[in-house]
Amino acid sequence: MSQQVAVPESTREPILARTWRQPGGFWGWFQNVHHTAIGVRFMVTAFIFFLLGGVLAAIMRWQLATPEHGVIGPDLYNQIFTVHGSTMIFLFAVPMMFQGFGVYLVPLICGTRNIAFPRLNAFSYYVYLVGGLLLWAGLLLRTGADAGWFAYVPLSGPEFTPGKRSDFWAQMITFTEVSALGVAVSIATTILRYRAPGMTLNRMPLILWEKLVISMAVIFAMPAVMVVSYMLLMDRTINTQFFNPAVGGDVLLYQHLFWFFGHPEVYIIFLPGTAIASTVIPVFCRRHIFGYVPIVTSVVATGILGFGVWVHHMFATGLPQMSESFFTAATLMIVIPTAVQFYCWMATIWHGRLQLMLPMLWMFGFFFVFLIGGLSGVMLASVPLNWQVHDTFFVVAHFHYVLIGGALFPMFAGLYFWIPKITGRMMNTLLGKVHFWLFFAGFNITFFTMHFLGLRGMPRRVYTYGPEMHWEGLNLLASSGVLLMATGVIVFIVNFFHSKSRGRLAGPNPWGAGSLEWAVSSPPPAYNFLELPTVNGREPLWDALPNQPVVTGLRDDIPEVLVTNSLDSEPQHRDELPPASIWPFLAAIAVSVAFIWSIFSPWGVAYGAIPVAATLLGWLWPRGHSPSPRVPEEV
Amino acid sequence: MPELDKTVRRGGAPVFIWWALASGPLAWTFDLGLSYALTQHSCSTGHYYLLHVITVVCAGIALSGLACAWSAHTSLPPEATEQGRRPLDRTYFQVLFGLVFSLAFVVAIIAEAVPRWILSPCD
Repeated sequence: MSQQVAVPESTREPILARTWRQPGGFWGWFQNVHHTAIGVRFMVTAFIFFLLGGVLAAIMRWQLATPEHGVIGPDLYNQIFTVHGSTMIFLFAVPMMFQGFGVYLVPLICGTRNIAFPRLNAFSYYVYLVGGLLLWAGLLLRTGADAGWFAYVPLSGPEFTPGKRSDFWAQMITFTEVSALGVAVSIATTILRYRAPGMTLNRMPLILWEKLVISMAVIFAMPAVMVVSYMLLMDRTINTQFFNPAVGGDVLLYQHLFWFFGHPEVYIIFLPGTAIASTVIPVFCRRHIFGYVPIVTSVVATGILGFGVWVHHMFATGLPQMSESFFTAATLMIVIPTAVQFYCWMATIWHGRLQLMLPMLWMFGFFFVFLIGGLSGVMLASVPLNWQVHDTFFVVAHFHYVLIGGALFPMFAGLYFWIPKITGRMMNTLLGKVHFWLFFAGFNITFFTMHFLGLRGMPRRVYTYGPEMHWEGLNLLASSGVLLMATGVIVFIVNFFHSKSRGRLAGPNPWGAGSLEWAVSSPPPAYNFLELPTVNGREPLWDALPNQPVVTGLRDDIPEVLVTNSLDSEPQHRDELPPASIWPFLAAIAVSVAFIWSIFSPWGVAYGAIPVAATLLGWLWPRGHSPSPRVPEEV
Repeated sequence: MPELDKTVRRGGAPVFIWWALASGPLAWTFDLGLSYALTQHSCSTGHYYLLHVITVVCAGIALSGLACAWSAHTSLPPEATEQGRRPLDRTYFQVLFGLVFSLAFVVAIIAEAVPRWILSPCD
């Protein structure tokens, strides 16, 4: 170890600020590769898509409020429910819960200065944005996808959906999944190699465990849907016959590949919610989480078992009964790890000193709503009931309880918890409570009612119904709940903008939390940590020694981070991260041109590859600093 | 188990601890995949026993992981703690993880064995 020359903090700070400076101005926006900026962009963009998807949901409920209502016709209704589902799953839930929170928080919680592969991370944001715009451009041009968010063949194939509608959907999948894969690689690498010294495998905060499991799930699940969407695209554009049984293709292959992605996707959406729960609950119970090892085991088991339940989406396809039963067993088994987590959270609350602040209010909403969704899921794991309610509003009610309960309620808990860190200002508590109760009441009025509609036989994806069905009362009730939910979300937006400018200053750690993001100012400086921290327990700030060592030996004049080993987070070497650059943006534009061109002509892939290669060349062109021999150390 | 101690103190993790972590998920994956793929085959050939053989072999693999975890658990020195910073403490965590994990997947394999006793592959 070399001698560390002591440099006063007042001298180091401006140097670090200059080294890690985020470029400003119009072009600077496109060059920024810092994780806090990209994380916020993911969150803001995903939230805008959430609002747009919500508007579509409101239009659908308006249409269904009364029998034979004429607000929209069947063609537009088909486009709206397809774009609503696709938006909420691919453009909101995953980008917000996994990419947004993950990109912003993981480097801070690891105690490092930026995410691994920051340019890949920035690139991932731009391709996600273009994918979202593509799907919505289709809808606004009245060529919106209209075969459902899973676009089953043969309905979405060339015979039954001529034109470009399904192509827009299939290529949106490619965009968003490339984005998720890029972020997954960045997050997994950050967690495995950039953790602060002392943050050994057995001390990793639970949110990092969950982000790691989700990243692995993304890496294994997303290729399946990218492959199947490309196979669909090829069937439609160059006349391959993957899904045409008349010439040896297989329709069920589509469903297998789609749901091999689709069910892990549920956990990719849900596990970030549990990560927020496992982070927020200990803070507001003023104690360490109960059952760290069971929770870690449960999260990893969920990530693995989630890959073995996909056939329960295909119970009505005529598979052998015994084959279905294997997946019934696996589906019932996956309840256990989720239940273990619930018990651990309950035990933490039971043994802690509960402070019922805004994030905890949303946590209790999560418990209630997700529990109902989980119970109806256990019902749906049974083949006879599954057959009875297949494709009815019962299923719509179930998955909204699971997804809104498992993602949206924790998301709001997470936003109320971390917005003070992001903006530096506290949210208004009264407005937060109004938001919660409006949304909670509206949600249950809308979706609990749908269970009964489903049991009375109302199928999903119908644009209207006759008065003789006697569904109008329940439908009107379900639609009225949307007004409450929408009002709640408007209150949240007002609260955000009001608090952002006039809220109480948050300070570094307004909640007295224990993880490392709360060790820095709010919002964090561009270099995150003046001194890279070391860790003495699972809640680094709570467990810190009076003179907790810090890491020295990193250069301030170039963007360096400390690389540690995966198991014991022992310092290994230093890594210089690339500076801000326009190339990820240009590469994303080139990739987007190739992808969109390929919808109209297969030559788009060949010709589009040329600008992609050129931009990648610019991106990867070597320019660096000579390595310094010093090795970081703890002092 | 001096080998365990030596490897752990070097900062590594012995192969059998990795086996305790990996055997359960691997066995369950094979059980589900093979059983699903061979259901129609065992119906058409009448070799119903094939599905039971898969259960026994896969449960055996998962149990071997459990045995590895248990053996490592009994070999670790008593000063190992679940939250400490030393490689020994991290190994103790991995061993606990392996115990729970392999046991969970043994249960999953048994749960998937139940339909084989009740249903026929030809249903």
